[in-house]
Amino acid sequence: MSNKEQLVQEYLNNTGLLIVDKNFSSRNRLLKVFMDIGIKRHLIYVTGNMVEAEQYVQDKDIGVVVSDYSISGGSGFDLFRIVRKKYPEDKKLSQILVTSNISQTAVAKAAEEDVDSFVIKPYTLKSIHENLVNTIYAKLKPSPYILKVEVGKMCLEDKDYQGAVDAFVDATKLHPKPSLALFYLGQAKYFLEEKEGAQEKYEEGLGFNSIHYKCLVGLFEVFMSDKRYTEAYQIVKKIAKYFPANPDRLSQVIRLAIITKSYTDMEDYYKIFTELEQRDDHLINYIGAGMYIAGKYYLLENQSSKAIKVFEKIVISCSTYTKFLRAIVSILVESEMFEEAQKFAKKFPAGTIGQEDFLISDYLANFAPLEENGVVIQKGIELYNQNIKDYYLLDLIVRRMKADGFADKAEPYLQEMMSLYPEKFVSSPIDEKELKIS
Amino acid sequence: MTVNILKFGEFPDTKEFEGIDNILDQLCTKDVKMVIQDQLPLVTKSLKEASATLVVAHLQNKDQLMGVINLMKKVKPFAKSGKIKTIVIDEIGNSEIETLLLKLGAQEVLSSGVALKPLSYKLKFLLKSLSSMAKKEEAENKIKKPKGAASNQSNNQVDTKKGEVKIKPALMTQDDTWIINLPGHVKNLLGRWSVKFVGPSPFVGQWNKLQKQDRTWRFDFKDHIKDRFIQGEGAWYFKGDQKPEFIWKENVWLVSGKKVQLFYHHDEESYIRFRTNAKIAEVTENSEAALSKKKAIEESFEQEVLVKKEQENESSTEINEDNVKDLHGKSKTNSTSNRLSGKSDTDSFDDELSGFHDQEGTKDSSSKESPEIANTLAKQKRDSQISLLDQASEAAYSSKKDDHHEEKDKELVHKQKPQVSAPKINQEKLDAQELGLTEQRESLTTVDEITDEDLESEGFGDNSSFRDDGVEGEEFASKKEQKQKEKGKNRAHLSTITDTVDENDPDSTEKKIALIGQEVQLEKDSGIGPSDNDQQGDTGSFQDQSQVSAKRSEIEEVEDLVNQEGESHPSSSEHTPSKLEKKMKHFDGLLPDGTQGDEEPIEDELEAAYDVEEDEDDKFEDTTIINENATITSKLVPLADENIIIPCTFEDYFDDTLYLKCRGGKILKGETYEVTLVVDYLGEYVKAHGEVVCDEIHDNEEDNFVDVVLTISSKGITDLDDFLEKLQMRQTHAMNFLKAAQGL
Repeated sequence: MSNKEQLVQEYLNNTGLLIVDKNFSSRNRLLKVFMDIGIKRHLIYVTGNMVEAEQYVQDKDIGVVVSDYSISGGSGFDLFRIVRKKYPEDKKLSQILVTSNISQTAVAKAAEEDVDSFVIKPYTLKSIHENLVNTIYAKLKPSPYILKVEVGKMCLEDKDYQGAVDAFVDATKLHPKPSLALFYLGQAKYFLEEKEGAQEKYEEGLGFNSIHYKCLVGLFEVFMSDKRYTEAYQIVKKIAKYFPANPDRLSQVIRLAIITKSYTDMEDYYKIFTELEQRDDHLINYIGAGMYIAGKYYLLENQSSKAIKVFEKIVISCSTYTKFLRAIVSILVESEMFEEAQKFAKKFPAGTIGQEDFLISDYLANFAPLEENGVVIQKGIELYNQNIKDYYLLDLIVRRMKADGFADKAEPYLQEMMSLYPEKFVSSPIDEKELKIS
Repeated sequence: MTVNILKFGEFPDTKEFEGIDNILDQLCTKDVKMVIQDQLPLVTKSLKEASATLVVAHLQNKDQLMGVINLMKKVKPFAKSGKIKTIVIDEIGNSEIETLLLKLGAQEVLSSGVALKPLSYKLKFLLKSLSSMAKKEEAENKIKKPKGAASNQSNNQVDTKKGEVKIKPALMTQDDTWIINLPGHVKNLLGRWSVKFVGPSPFVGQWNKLQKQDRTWRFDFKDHIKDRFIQGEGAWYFKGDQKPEFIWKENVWLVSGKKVQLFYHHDEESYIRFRTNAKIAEVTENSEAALSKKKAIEESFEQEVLVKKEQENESSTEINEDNVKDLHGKSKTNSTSNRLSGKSDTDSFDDELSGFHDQEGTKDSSSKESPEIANTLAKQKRDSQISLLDQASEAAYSSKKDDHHEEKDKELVHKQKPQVSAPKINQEKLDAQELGLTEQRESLTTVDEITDEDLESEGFGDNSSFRDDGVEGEEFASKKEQKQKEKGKNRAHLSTITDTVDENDPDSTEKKIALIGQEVQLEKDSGIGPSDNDQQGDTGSFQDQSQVSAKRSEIEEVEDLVNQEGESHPSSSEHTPSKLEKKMKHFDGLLPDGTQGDEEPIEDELEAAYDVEEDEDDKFEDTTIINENATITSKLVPLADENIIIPCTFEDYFDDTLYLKCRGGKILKGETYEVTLVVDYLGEYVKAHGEVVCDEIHDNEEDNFVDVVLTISSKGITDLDDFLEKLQMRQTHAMNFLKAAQGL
């Protein structure tokens, strides 16, 4: 047994080890790996679900957590957060993900969550043995660089910012690519209200390592606090590309893409969105709105085929929100693409027929283009009287009334339009207000 | 070698296709040509003619579907060889058609609106893969059909079931010092390579692990001998899972593992003597330089060095000629014990070694204990010509010519009772060197008797416990006698060393090597052998000396702990991240087994590693940090009803058992299924398939899925190794990404 293994063994025989895996056989195999290292059985806690895992974390002294990505009742990352919350000061705590989920999202999330190691199943006993020993050993015997960074972090916690700066400067000399130290140095500068210095350090860190997560986030926050949206967008775009797992961030990216008028990037975010394993309603709403705006942009740019493709993606991914279908139908009707509008109007899920979004879409796409003005006006007023307020509905009523020589009757509807939708009367075809759709 | 890009179907003059066309045009080079073909019979001809082909087909509407399907059918037989890769740009957008095309062997089915950047990346990747394939095939053909009288070695290509040996031109460095006899020296068994190489023996150098470089050892020569093998300032490095082991019976170094590499590095230049990955071993031919050193190498095997530990009694503080004669007259150590006494410069670190010396009774004249001197003799077959042996002796025993040392040693005789290692040399030489030996032996301090067990039993956690450690000389001597008798004829010169290690210890050979190397280092430490103090910096430090004189290879982990990554390690040059070590880091990214780049090296990367002029920083970044998605898909099809397809989620695999998660209700216990596992990564699908039997079904508490345990049938799973290898590559990339993103 090497000294490294011996040290790891000694450590593990003085602390608890938690193994969490839904699969019974996989759990047992991991158990065997650790017993082979020489860990006493009574110090190894094994479970397949989150509830028991949490219980172990609360009741036992845990020094190493080995968990699968997906566990019954939660995820490995949830568990890691709970453990870290219990042991915020424990620098020796090792958290290792052992999973068959090989997606980049999982890897990026592990990086973002400061997971210590990522082991892909299936593994060989030799490979996992090495990985575990090396990971735990690195925690037990951190390099001088890491030790120095920790010193600086302690200074930061104590609000000794100048002391922190000194420690981090020292740390930068101990590593060929000291991005981590430069990030914390940037943080210290930020706290010292030297924003430019902070930005410089983050950028320096990224110079060594262009995907250093903390430096990217630090830089993004500096730009955002200065309302430098264009720069912030460039950074967050990169973060979203490399660390796509965070739904909140993706929402942020979409918003910034709209602010910076980067409509054509929206499809990239859609791709990221489709690769996400967990999509909440908030994010679905955001991606739907963002894509809608991108589609509208293409329509304005006379790239209707692109617009249609974008709209189709919305239908696929945001089908739970019929408001997007209504918006698509409306914009297609406005663009006089009635055939396409009718196609989209047919895509309403069965359970939504009869609801406002369907009624408006059906009216705009199927009824209005085919019928006479009088019928269209009558049907429109019926919908209006059902308290359905829609810009395109009112617009159609007004235009048809004017066309039939009833401009005076159209006036109240026009007034209501201007009152309800003032933005439509301002010459700004696409801006952030469009996001109100969500 | 010609790689074709075959465009099939109509590529309209739209903006989108203009972009695609531009990308394809940019990919065309001297070796990559564009072929536009709509006629299916001519497609086959084109596929046959080219070394490899990247087919880019455009499917605009359903009318063209049959044409594309027929194309795929034509391509399919070629695709199996890996020489053809197909991308279909599909404007229909029907998922069933997409599935069908993928089934027919299309690598990718893309929509026409695909972003140009990823498309460009994909095309480049596929083209790179095809070019590599074509190059490899071309190289193989050259080897298989050598023109005229090809060299013997060129014919020595070894094809085994699992491995292929590729022979590269001999290294163009005068410092090549290794000889590999093909095909016998390079073997692949069950995916692991075993490589034997003939070169300087452990007598003249040893493999020392680099402190800050995982799995890398440097061959450190004894200084005076180094010139015999290496003229330059560089050194030979080995990278692998285990240190090279010297096989005494065959006089060869042996390394084994999946990924091993032997290379010479100096300044900006590196030369790879051999390297392997799971399937390929690249071995350079024996160079003239190496062959010219054959005699010197052979001499190094016969260099017999006896490492001894003596416990000197109070009266025997000097060695006289009679002692030596006694020593000559007997071949067994029992007859020579107590004869030799030594003196050494090592008293310079008596303080640090006090525990050790106290026990041995060597520190000063007031000490009551008198350690005995244990000697061992061995027979030498060597003639008396001036050879490496002489050089080695000169190096080791230079004290006889060095008045300064002689005087110093004489002074020391009265101060200490050193442990002595008597070199084992042949009788004639011994006679010739008797006088010299007096000083020579005095100069050698033997700490070699300290075994791992000793270290461990004494709680050897730091240098100080090492210093306190001692060995019972008498006990040692008698043990040695007994074992020497057993050892007899083979390697008598090793007997002392052998005694110091556990017979049952499987690592004993390594220990021997370490001990021998230790002796070499001892000469330096004692100031009698060539000194490298200058290199080590702090010349007076015991830590330096003990560090090098102790069993470096075995205790370096402990040293690491003690020295805290070099912080308290005052002088070892190895502990400072030197330019070379930084360079070594870069190598890692290039090497097939690099800690930063464990991915399976594709042909281009292997080539690139030879090209030392390239910016290694760039290569490191490019090759290791991957931000591409990866997926595993799996399905089960009951043999009883092949129309049923059960999509599954891959969970785990070990002990010939697969663990999948499937939707419940469709799986039956005891039924046999055809399983298909597909890993999709970096634009390549690797598919493994075979028969499995459902052993267990476990309900999942949370959802409608069940956990299924399937035993692989005796037929096994085809291409499972490739599947696992791809996942291994993914593992490496995942870790690289993790480290980079966290800045560790």
